[in-house]
Amino acid sequence: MRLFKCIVVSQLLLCACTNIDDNVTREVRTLYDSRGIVFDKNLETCLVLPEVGCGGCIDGAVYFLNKNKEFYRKEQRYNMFVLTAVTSPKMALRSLNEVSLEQYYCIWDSTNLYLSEGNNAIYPLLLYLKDGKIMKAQYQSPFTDDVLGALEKTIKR
Amino acid sequence: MNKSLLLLLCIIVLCSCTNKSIYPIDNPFLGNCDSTFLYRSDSVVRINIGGYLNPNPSASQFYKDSFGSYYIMLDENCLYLLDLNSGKQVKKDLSCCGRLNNYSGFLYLGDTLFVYAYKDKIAFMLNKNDDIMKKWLVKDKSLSEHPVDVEAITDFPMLYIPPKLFMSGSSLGSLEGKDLQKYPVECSIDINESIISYSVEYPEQYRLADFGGVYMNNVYHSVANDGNIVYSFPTDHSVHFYSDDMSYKKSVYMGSRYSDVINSSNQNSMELFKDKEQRIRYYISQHSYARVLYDKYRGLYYRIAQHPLLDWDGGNFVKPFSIIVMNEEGELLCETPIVEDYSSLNLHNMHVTEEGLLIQRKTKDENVIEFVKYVIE
Repeated sequence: MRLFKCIVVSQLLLCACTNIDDNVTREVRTLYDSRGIVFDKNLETCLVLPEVGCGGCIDGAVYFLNKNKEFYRKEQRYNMFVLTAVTSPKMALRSLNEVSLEQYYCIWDSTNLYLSEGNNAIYPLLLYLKDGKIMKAQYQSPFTDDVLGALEKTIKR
Repeated sequence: MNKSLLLLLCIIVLCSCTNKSIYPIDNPFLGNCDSTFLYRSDSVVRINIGGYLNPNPSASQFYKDSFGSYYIMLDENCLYLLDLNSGKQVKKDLSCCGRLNNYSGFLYLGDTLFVYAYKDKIAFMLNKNDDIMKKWLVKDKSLSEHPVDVEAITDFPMLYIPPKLFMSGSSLGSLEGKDLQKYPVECSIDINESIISYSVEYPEQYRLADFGGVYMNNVYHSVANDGNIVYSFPTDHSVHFYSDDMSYKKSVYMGSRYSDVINSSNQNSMELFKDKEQRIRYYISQHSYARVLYDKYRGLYYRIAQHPLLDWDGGNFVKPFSIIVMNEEGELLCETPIVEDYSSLNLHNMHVTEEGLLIQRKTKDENVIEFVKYVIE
C-alpha cells in the first residue's frame, strides 16, 4: 500500500513538472496550422495587432509599437508584427505615425489570416516562437497580466 | 438544512440552464406603401478631407449660414470645418474640453458650440472664440440610480431646442424585470438655469424580455416638428414623441413592411452579454430599427429599418436596411429597401440637408468622404 502511494505521488509530481501547453497556446497553434501559417525559423516574437487605427480599441499595443519600433526594423529577423482586421489603412498608418511600413519587419494581413476567433479576436496576440514553432501564445486583455511589458523586456535583451 | 441548501442549489442550476421563452414584438400593421417615392439621386456629395483626417468620423455635421456651407467633423481633439465651396479647412483645437474620444461629440451652431467629453461626462458650451462659457457634469447619481450615460456621436446627436440641450444615452445589459423608471435615456440641460434633468423611459417590452443588452438597447432621437423630440427604439415598431419639457405626447406607428416580428433572445442573459459572437448572432438574426431623422426642409421623417443578415461569417457586419418615410401628420408615405449595396453605406454617418438625406458611401480613396443622396420624387 505504501509502495502504491509512493508511485501515485511520484506520478503526480512528474505530471506537474512537465511542460504542458496552456489552452491559448494550443488553440492558436491549431488555428494557425489549419490556416497554413508558417513562421521563419529565426523568428522569436510575433505581435499580432487587430484593428489598428480604430480609435480607442488597442491604444496600449499601438503605444508599445510606437515606443519600440527600432526593434522591428526589417534589418533584423527576430521580431515581427502583423496588422490584421484593418478597416482603414489610412488610420492604421496614422496611428503608427508612418506613411509606409516598408522599413519594418511586418505583415499587412489584408485577408485576416492571422485574426483570432471568438471574443479574443479584438485583443493583441503575442507569440513566442522557436525554430518556426509557436511555443507560447498570450493575449493582452484587461484580464491578463502585462504581456506587452514582458515583451518589451524580451526584445530589449 | 443541508438538504434545503442542496435543493436550492439544484433549482438555481436548473433555472440557469434552461432557455427562456421568446417574447415576440409583432408588427400590427405591416403597412404597404409605395417604395419608389424616395430614391437615390445620381449625383453625390464628395468632400476632400486631405491626407490626415479620418474618413469615417464618428461625430460630424453639415452646417450652413450666411458665410458658407460646411462639413464639420471631430477628429481626435480638434474640430475641422471643411468649406464645401472653397475646400478650405479651418481647425479648432478643443483640448480645453479634455480628451474627446469614443462617444464624444459636438453641436455647432455658429456663434455657439456645444461639446461633449465622453470620458469625463462633461458637456461644454463654447462661444465663437472657443472660450468655455459653461460646463455641466451630466452623469449625476443624485438624479437617478442609473444615470444617463450620454453618447454624442452622429448616431446619437446632441439636440438644441432653446433654452435646452438634449443628449441621449443607452443602458447596457438586459432590462428584463427592471424598473424602467430607474433607467432614463435622455439628459436635458437648461443652459440658462444650468438645470440638468433625466427623462424618457424604454418602452415596456424591455422590462418584459431580454433583447441582448447591447445593440437593441440603442436610443435614437431627433428634433421633431413643433419643437418636439422623437425617439426610435430598435425593438419598437412605433416612434415616440415628447415635448421639450420632456412630457410624453404620443406614439406613432412607423413600422417596416418587411418586419413582421422582432423576437427577444431566449439565451442566458449573462452568457449573451459576455459572448460577443453570440450577441451579434442574435442581433443580426432579428429585424430592428435604428435612426429616426426629421427633415425640416420637406416636413418629413426618415426611419431606418434593419433586416436580418443571413450570411455573416464573423468580423464586421452590416444589416440590409430600408428607409421608411412619414409626413408630419403621421402618414406613412413609402419604404425604400436598400438591397444591393447596403454594405457599402455607413449608416453611422447620415445627415439631412437641403439636398436630401445623405448617407456616407465607402470609397477606395480614403482622402475623400462621399455621400449618396436620397431625394423625394
